[in-house]
Amino acid sequence: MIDKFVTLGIETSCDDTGIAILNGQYDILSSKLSSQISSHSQYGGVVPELASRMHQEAILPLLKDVFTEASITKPSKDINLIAVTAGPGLMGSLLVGVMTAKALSQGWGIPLIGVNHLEGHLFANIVANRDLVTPFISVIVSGGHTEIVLVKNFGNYELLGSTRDDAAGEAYDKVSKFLQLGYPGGPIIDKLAQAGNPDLFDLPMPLSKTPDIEFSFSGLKTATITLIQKAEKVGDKININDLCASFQKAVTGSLICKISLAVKKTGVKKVALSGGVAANSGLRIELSKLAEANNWQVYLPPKGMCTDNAEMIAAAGYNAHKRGISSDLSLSPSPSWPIW
Amino acid sequence: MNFKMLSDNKAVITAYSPEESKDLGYLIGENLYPGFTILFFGGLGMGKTVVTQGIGNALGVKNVKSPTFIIVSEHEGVVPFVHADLYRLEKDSEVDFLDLENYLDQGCVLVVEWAEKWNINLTKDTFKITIEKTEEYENIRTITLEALGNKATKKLEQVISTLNDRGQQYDSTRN
Repeated sequence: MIDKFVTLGIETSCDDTGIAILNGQYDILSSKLSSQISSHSQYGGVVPELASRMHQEAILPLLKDVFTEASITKPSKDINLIAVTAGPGLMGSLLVGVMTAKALSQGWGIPLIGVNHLEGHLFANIVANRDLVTPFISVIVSGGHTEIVLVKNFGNYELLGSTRDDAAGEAYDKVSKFLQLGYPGGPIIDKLAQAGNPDLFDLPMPLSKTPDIEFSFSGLKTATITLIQKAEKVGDKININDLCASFQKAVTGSLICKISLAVKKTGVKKVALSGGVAANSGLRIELSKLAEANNWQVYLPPKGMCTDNAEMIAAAGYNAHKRGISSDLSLSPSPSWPIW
Repeated sequence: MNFKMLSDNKAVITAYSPEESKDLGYLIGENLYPGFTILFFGGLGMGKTVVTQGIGNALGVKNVKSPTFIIVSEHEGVVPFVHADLYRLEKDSEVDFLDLENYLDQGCVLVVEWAEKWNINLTKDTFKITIEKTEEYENIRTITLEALGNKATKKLEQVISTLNDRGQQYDSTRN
């Protein structure tokens, strides 16, 4: 029934346990996710010890579900490769995925490959958009990362720029927590922003005047918090929708401005967005508008593939395997694994 | 940047911009040694990461970013440099899970943001740094440096002496 090349993908770098089965580069036979968000939301973020324990509880039942859905009855025969996220991420979380992958690889005699989570995010767009070919500009925006990368070829990446301090998603989370809106902050602020006036508060658009591709969201976070504190002090009532809209305008404005700069500097007019913040409606709309006006092509994964998932890990692992890359049983998690 | 000693092992420094905060971080970083801990206290947007960037630069680490997401960020510096951020953590057991003391045993320099969440009693080789905002000015930070242990106190004297050599005396009229 399955006659091509089947990759089992395992993702446990943060707060989602993901398992996927991919046939070749594009065909998702099954993909399941066990999200821990509701367990972590009371803390305003991911708690490492809890995350590690929840991955352990989720991983085997998920594996079973995925095998059933993909009609895999003899894993040692049906699966050709096991791809697992080995970094960057939380040590305790990564460990669960890597140890499981190694055990399965050894038990079933299947080749193993450790995948970099950020390279995985690039591949979310490959799986979702079959017509996307290199070279293209990949924009990875999430709670932990804000990076613009030139994908010359698969395996040949150039970091064009990244954040100096906080990630874009982190600024969303911290402002959201400060306003007691909940976690994760991105979707909540995005929703409230739709009903607000983005021009009501004058928040700084970080580094918009510098000639380099770089981001800084720490100052914007501080400016937003200071604005709230000042208003509270004098007894002004701030309209949260307007504040969220103004904050979102500053974040997306900063991202859009540096994406434009990346296109200008490289001459590459294909932009692929990924990571949790790629699900932000403000960013998707603004980027699509800009692309249309300038004749670029924009690639957006479906919202479910923006956040962490195992399809992208399987896809990146398969591609790396084709390029002759492999790992052995000495594979160990690397919480701050740099790739570009 | 202005400063004054509050006691033998405690100084307060006023940084008038994020650049000055980073510069102070650099001065601190130059004086650190393996097994040294910096504990940061102070809320969101105080500039803990900014001071840490200065510390990192002094240790030869250029890309110090907020480690909020991955909690602990390990850097290879002149001295191995570990940057932890306990912002997301709540319970003691969650902090214990990180085994931060192990980094000190390994001879790393350890910087901990949101140190109020770490229930530990360090008595030496430590700076406690508390950052506060002044009411009126958004960019001004009052940074209190407290040294724990004789060796750390000597290092604090060194930091203050460098500031003094630069002629940046504390000026009470500016506050």
